[in-house]
Amino acid sequence: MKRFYFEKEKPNIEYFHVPLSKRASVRDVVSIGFGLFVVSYLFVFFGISVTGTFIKDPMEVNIGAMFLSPSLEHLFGTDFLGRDIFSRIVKGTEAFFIPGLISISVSTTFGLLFGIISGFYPKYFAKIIFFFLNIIDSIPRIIFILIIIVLFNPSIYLIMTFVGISSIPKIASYIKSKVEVLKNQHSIEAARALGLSQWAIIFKHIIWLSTKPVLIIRATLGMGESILIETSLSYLGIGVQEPTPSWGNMVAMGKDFFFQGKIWLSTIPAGVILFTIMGLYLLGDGLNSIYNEKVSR
Amino acid sequence: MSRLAELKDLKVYFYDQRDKRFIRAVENVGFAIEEGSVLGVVGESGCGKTVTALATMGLIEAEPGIIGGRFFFKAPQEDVKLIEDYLFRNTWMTTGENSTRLYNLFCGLDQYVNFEENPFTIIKDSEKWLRRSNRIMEHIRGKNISMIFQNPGRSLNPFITVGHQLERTIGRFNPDRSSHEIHEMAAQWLRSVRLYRPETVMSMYPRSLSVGMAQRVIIAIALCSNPRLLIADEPTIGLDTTNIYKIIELLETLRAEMNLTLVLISHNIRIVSTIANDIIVMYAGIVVECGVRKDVIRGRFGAKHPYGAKHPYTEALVSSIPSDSDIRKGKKLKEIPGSVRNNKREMNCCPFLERCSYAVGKIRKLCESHCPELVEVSPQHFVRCYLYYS
Amino acid sequence: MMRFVRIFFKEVFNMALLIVGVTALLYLLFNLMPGFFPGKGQGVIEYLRLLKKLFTFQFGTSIISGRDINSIVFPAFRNTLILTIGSIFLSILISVPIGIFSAYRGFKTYSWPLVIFSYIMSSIPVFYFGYLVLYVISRYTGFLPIYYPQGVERGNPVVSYVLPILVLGFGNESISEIVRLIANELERVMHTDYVIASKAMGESVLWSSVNEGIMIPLVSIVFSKIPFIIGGAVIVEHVFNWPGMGRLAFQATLDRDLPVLIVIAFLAVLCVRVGMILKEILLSYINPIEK
Repeated sequence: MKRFYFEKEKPNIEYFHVPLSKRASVRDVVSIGFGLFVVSYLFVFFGISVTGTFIKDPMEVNIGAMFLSPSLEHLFGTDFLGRDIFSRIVKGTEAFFIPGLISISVSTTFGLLFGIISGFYPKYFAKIIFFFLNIIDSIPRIIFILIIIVLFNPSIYLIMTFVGISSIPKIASYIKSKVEVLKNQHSIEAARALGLSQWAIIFKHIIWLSTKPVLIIRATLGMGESILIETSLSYLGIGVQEPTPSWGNMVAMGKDFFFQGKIWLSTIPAGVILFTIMGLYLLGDGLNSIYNEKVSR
Repeated sequence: MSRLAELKDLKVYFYDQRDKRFIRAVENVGFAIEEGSVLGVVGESGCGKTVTALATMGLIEAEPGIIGGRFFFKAPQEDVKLIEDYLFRNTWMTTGENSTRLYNLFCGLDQYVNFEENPFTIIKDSEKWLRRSNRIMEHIRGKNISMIFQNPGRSLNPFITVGHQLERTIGRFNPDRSSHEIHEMAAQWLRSVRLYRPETVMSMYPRSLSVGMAQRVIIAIALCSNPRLLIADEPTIGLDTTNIYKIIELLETLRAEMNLTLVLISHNIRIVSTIANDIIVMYAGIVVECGVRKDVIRGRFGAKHPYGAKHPYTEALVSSIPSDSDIRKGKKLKEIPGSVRNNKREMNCCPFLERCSYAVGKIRKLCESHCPELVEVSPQHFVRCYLYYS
Repeated sequence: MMRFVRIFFKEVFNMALLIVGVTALLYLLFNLMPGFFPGKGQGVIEYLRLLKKLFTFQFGTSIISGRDINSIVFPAFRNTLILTIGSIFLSILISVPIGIFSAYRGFKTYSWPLVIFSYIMSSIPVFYFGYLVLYVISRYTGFLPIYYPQGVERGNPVVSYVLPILVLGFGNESISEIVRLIANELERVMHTDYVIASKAMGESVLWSSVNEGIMIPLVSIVFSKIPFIIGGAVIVEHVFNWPGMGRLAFQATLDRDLPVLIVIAFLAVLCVRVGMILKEILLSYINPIEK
């Protein structure tokens, strides 16, 4: 009783060249592909909404066309004011795109900076830096943001800056551990290198080796978190205000109509949020597992 | 003395994903073990001894790969009842005077793992085989066959104390004893492996044990379930010479006390020859010589060779370890030139070809053409070399 | 035993230092608020007085709303604490089996649905999920109370904990992270020497000495997720209109009531730090390797 898995004919008598599929990498390829798809449609939406080339105007109120369910005319239907939901979703990317980028750039730059400094001087600077970072790390992020909102009444960009600040400690500690490991390797090498390698070269080596994975992986995961925070804040009503669309406040506005059976007003923006965040997480995880690929026995 | 276990035609191939080819780790290995005897497996590092041992225990997990062969083992009746659902009919063989049954622990293997060399088709389904073999082997491992590994410090769980680990193992096989009794049994086992202050040892963590002590603890843990067969995979690596002989002596004493059957794997033929009854010599994944200890080490009187009828590799191994008389005479150490080939052997020449000092002249053409078969040069003594084809 | 005491005191000292730092930060922010508190003295003495008030848990009255802070914050704090602990347990209960299952089956095809499920669960916006659960339960079954009985109606408040814990336990971001962590760590530990050796000496495949190996990263990550869960509680409590610290914080934000917010932040930091101490103690118990 034979079961065929793979059959390949090769005239080569020397080796057994039978390629079997590598299971781990298929999964990674799918995750990364999905993530790239998400990133690309985010860019497309952002581009459309910045240049204003909508097919249907997202702000146009059309009382006669209220509560239309999804159809060919209105891809995602219309909401309680007759506005086209699909265009509103496209315009909603504006609410988190730039703020998200701000947040991840703040967190990665300062995280890198603090991480590298504490990695190189684990005795003096690290203790001081990590004291302050632990303070920031202990406050839950949303409560931190609520305090900031009460104090400064900020725009969404300033809020996202503080979100970035609150993500610094994690990145800094991750980089610090990596730098410490690398530093030990290089210090042995450096001792053998007859003192020829200058500090700058070691800096470049270590910084390059330790930042390559972090930048992209943490950036994608950070973008996902920023989207989640921005939509949560808009849902609560303290982020982007009506009538500017944001995915969060579309969910908030639409949830009252659940009981009337018009579930698409709320479900579709939530589904888009789900899809986007899942894509970004999968992208980050796929890159992570490809970069840190451990060959099993 | 009845036969305890018999291995037939074991093949283990691993698939190298980088080079996209199969590496033959072990090919057509077979041996037979009698109850109460000691089998020695000798060979250089990389010749497949550990893989053979792991395959008989069902511990090979590197996938993808191929395992083939049959391993017959005399399992006690209560365990047979437990695994009977997984054993098909006709998967045992009867042997010996008492016509005892040896059950094939790889049974069903030909249903799941099968391949043909020509024309290069590979058929495998090793995941299901692994699960099935786990269910069979769960009752065999520990209770009937136990295995100890090299590097004893790493075989102990670093998070719990030695005593705790020993008690866990004892408690698994004696579920109806109280914890006080288990503690007593643990202390008793430690004394029987000649660790005479069991209370102190039991409260230590594995990182504070010396290598000799750790090895004894491992032996205690392996034997506390009274297995029938103990496979010792290079138990003496890393020990100093006195400790080596102490451990070997300990194994011999335990074997006499408990009527244990031992498979001793090592690269040092002299150590193995101190207590072994039969010896198998492996090279590059195949068995090149097997027989009773006397025949393998000394050969028969009056045969062609100075040392007796032996494979060139065995002869080189034996002569590379100087005996006392050689040391006194100040003879030079004989070394074996070259190193083990990288297992991409294609079965079309003898694997020992490059390092063999007897492959000259007319024989060499034979040696280059095909891999020799096992030939019986004297009763119960097999050698795989063209020198004995006649 | 001495080791525990030593670690305990070290961690408490760290915690105290950190809380002093947090309160300093909050105090600075408090004073930044432009022109709102005439007559509120500045300087170190006032700060020390504030510290004393905080540490003795007398929060006084809120300047903005005039309410007594103590009476509103403490019941809310107790509720949110139970919510947090409950949802952490639920998250562990869900994600650890999925991680173990996918590690033992070796990331094969039939473990994909569960992994995808865990990804979806951790990307779903928790406000939508909460509302969906609310809608479904109240519309179609209507037997789990979705409100918290207050005042005269002394119903059984315990049952009303169920839904928020369910939603927060399923909907926070940590599920996929824990699944991935458990799967990777388990796969790594399964191939270490001591596990293979103990398998060869008779341990069963499922339960074996891997438990100690995976407990360490699991404990670390679970306790470090506490701030996230407290943050998620804000949204869940808003959805369910549930009296907890999160809803209180949100109302305080709308009322611009800074003292309440600072008190809530202080309590939250206290929770997080106590969690860290517990984590250190647990780790030192499991991991006998001393630095």
